[in-house]
Amino acid sequence: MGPVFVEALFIFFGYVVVHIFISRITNGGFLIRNAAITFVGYFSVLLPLFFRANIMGLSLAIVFEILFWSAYIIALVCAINSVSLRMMDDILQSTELKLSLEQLTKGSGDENSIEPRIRLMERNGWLSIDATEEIRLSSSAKLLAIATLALRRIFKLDH
Amino acid sequence: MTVHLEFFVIAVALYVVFLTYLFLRVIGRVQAPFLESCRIHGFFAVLCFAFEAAYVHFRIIEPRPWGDMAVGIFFFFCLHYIAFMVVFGQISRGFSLNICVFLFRSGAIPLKTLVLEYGNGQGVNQLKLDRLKMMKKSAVVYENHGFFKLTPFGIFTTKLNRSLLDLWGINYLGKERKR
Repeated sequence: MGPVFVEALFIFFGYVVVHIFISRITNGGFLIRNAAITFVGYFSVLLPLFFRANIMGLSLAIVFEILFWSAYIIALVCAINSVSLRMMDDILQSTELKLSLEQLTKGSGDENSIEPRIRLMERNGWLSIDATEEIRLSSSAKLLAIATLALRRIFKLDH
Repeated sequence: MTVHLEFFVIAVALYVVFLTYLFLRVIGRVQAPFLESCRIHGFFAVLCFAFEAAYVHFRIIEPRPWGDMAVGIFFFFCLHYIAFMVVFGQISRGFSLNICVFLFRSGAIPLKTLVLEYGNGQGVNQLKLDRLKMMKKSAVVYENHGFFKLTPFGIFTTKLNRSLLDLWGINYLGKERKR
């Protein structure tokens, strides 16, 4: 198991280097838009490399690659999308290294509206908005909401 | 190739015990659930290491599968930081999931009503206020005379993230990249 792990790790780092290089020369566009596709693409390239191993080695290598890439994608999404990190960066970029509540939550009207997110959810099929602008959740989104509420209850996360 | 799947089994079994402990500890009610879960996970990781080392020692497998043991411990960390933390983060503060839950509770409502009523009428601001509250609990920021400042850990995290973004050649979504 050890050698397969090390081999998978080396291949993963090789692809990370390629990924960073492409991201830099495309100024981030490639990385943001195609992170998931890249994952699948790299994986399809990666698979044949392991056919020289036995079935157990191949399965383990795939499991390791999935774990490595999942961690990589999670780190990437957090780094570019996290509200907390963005606010912390705002504080660090400020001249006196401090910001008031008003400065941190600045933005009014459209900037603070949740409408863009609702439109995005509509495009992704989470909900539908009819002619009278009434919103209805899709059945899968309802299931997701039920699961979320159940998990919140299990872990006693009060909202 | 001999594969010692026992190390995976030990990791999964201990992770189930860890989850049970989180449930009994009522993790959602503590000051900073994320940090607390990581702290408890650290303790269980030490236990995982101890159990796996004991297994290697007492089973007298030759050659000693130290590599397999390391992979087992790595898997124990993956279960937490790749699976659990993502799900836990989403259910506790996912933006879209919160909207789904709001709609599920309120039934079919007009778009305008949702925009006006979500987050006590504060929209995205509510999200930012929630995050600020959590950041204070997690000790990455602190409030001083009405101003928010970063703690040393907060500065370290922000600088680390900034250097990652620079490495990728990108900026936060919606922000122009500095050249």
